[in-house]
Amino acid sequence: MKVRLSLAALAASAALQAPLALAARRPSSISPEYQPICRYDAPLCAEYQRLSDKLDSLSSVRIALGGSRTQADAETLAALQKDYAALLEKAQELIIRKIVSSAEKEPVLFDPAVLLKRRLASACLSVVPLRLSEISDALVDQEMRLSEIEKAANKYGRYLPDSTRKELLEKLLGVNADGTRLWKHLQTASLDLDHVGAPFVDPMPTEHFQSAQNLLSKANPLAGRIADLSRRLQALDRLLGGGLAPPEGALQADTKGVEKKVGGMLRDPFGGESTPGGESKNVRFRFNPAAKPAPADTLMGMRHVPSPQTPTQDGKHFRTGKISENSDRFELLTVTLMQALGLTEKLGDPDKRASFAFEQTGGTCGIACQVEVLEEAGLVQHTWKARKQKETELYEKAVAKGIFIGAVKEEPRRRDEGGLLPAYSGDLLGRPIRKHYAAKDDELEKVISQGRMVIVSVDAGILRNNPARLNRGHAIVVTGAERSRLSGTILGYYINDTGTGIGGRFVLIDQFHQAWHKEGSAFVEPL
Amino acid sequence: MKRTISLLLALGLLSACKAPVTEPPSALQRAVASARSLPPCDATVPMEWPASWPIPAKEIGKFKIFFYPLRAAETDSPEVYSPAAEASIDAAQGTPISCGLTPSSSTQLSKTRWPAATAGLNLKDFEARARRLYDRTEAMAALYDGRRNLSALEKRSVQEFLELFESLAEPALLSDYYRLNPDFWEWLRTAAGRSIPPAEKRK
Repeated sequence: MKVRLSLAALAASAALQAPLALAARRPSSISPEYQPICRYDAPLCAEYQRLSDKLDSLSSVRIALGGSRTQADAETLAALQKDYAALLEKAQELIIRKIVSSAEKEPVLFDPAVLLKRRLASACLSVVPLRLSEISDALVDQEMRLSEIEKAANKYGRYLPDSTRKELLEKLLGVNADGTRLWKHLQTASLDLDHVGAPFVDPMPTEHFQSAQNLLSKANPLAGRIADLSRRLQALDRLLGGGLAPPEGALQADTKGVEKKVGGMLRDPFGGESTPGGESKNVRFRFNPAAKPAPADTLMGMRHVPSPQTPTQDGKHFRTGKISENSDRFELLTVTLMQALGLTEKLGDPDKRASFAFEQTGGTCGIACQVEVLEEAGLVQHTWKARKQKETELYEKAVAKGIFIGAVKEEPRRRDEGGLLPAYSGDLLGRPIRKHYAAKDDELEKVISQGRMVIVSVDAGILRNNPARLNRGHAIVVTGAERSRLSGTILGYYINDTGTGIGGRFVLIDQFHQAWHKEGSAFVEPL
Repeated sequence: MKRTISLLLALGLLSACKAPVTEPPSALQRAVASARSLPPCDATVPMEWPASWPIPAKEIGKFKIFFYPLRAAETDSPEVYSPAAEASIDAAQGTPISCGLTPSSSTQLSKTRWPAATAGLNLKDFEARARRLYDRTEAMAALYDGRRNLSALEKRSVQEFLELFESLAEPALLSDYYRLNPDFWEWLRTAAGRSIPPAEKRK
C-alpha cells in the first residue's frame, strides 16, 4: 500500500493553528505498545519515535485544518514517504532476521511498518466520517439551491427575460463553485480512505476493514450525488445559454494515465486535458458567445461523469477464481500466505479495475477487452449497459472492417462462432497502442509494473485448467500483479476475464506464462 | 503472534512442496500453437478457433492443420463445428506457410469435443499425452517421408501413434483429419495394416 498523507498546512494560518496542533500532540515517549522494537534495534527505535512524533503532529494539524492541500503539504508528504520507505526496509530486514534466527526465542515478531500503518489508518478513520457528514450536509444545501434555479428557469420557459437569465446564471456559478469545493473535499476523504489498507495485505483487525467498508459505502453515493449535481448544472447552463458547459454527451479521454487512477478509491474527474482543437468546434453558444468553457476542474466543466468505485464482486481483494482453475494449489496457498504475512505487494490497480469486468456475448473477447480499456480511459460509462452497447458498437465496426471473421455470415451465428483476427487486436480503441509480438516475460512485467493495463492472448484451456478448452485462444486484460517483497519476483498476475465475467482473478505466474506463451506471447499496450 | 508463526511454518512447508517443472513443448507443438498469432494466419483465423492436431503433409518437413469454431458456452463440453480454415506449417521454421478459410459454411457437428478416452484426465495428464502425440507425429512424418516398408519396431511405433491419435482426436472431425492428407492415412493402412476410416461426405 502506498502511503500518502493528506494534511493541511496552509502557510497563512499555520501560526494560528499551531496551538491546536501542539495541544493535540502526545507526549514524546514511545508508547508501551511499541516498546519491543527498542529491544531489537535501538536506532530503529529512535527512528520510529521520530517518525511517530512527526505523524502525530501532521495528523493533528490536518484534523484541525481539514483537508485542503498546499505545496508545503506535498513536500512534507514526499519527505514522509521517503522516511516510511526506509523504515519499511529496515523492518523487513528485522523480520527476515527473526525468521532466520531460530535460536533467538523472542516471543514477538515485530513489524513496525504495520504499527505505522495502523497509526495512519486510525487517524484517517477518525477524520473521514466527520468529513463525509459535512459533505453530505453541504450537498443538500447545493441541491436545494439548484432546484430553486431550475424552478425559476422552467417557470418562464422560452420567454425568460434577459435580466432574470443573467441573474440565474450568476446563481448557477455560485453553485458550481461551492459544488466543486465539495467534490474536492470528497476526493480528499477518498484518498484518506486508501490509508486504511487492504485485507490480506495489511494485518489489521477485521472491525477496522468493516469500518472502512462502511465509510466507502457512504462515500460512493455522495460521489454519485455530486455527479448528478454536475449533470444538472451543465443542463441548466445549456438551457440558459451560459456557454460554459461542454456539449451534451461530450466525453474526453483521460490522458493522465494510471498515476491518477491509483490515487484514491474514487475516480478523479479532473484529469481530462483538452484535446488540441477538440471539442470547441462542436460548441454552440446560443446566448453568450463571449463566454469561455468552464475549466475542467469544476463541476460545470466536467467532461465525464465521475464514477464512484463499484465494490468488487465478492468484497475480497485476492480472488483466485475456482480452486480447480488453478494449476498448482500448493503454490497458490504459498502466495496467499505470503500475502497474509505482508511479504507481497500489488502492482497496478487490480481491485478497482476488477469492476470493469463484464461477460462478453459471443466470440467477442478481443472486443470486450478493448471496452474495458476504454472504460479505464473514461470513454465508456461505468455501467453494464454502457459496456454492452460499446461491445456491440465495436463488434459492428469490426465486422464492417472485415477484421471479425465468422464461420458463417448470418447473425447471430457469426458473432457466436467467430472471433477477432489476432493481427488487429487493439485496433478498435481509436487511440495509440503498442503491439508486442513474441514478447519476453520481463517485457510484460515491466509494463505491468508501470501500472498499465494490457490486453494479452492466452490459451483458454490452460488459463482455466480445463482440457475442454485447450488450444482455444482467448483475449484477457491484465490489470495488475502481485510481487514478492523479498525476492522482487512476480508471483502472479491479476486478470479480468470477459469469458467468465470475473474481474481481478489472480493467476499464478507459471500458469499465466504457459497460457500466454502458447498463444505466441503477444500483448497490446494502450499508450 | 501464534497466527504469524503458524503462517510462517506453513509457508516453509509449502515452499518444499513446489510442483516439478513441466517439460517444454516440442518444436512442432510450438509451431502449431503459435500458428494463429503469426502471419499469414493472424490476419485470417480468429483466435477463438482452436487448431487441430497436425498431420504430416506430402512435402517433407511440412504439416497440415485445420481450425474449427468452438462455441464459447461456459460448460465443460463446448460445441464443435466443422473446420472453417486450414494451414500448412513448417515445423523447422516454426511458422505457418499458408493459411486460408474453407469455402463451405461451418456446421455444428457435435456437443462433445474430445474422445471418451480423455474423460477424467486433468490438464497436466492431457498435456502429457498431447506431447507424446506430437513426438509420435514427428516420428510418423519421418517414416512417411521415406515411404518404405516398415520394420516390426516401426510398425509398433505406428500402432502407438494411431492409438494416441484416436485417444485424442476429436471424433466428430475424423473425416476432416483424413481430408487433410488422404495419402498419409492410406500409406499407414498399407504399411501398418490400420488407419482411420476414409472421409465421409458431410450432409
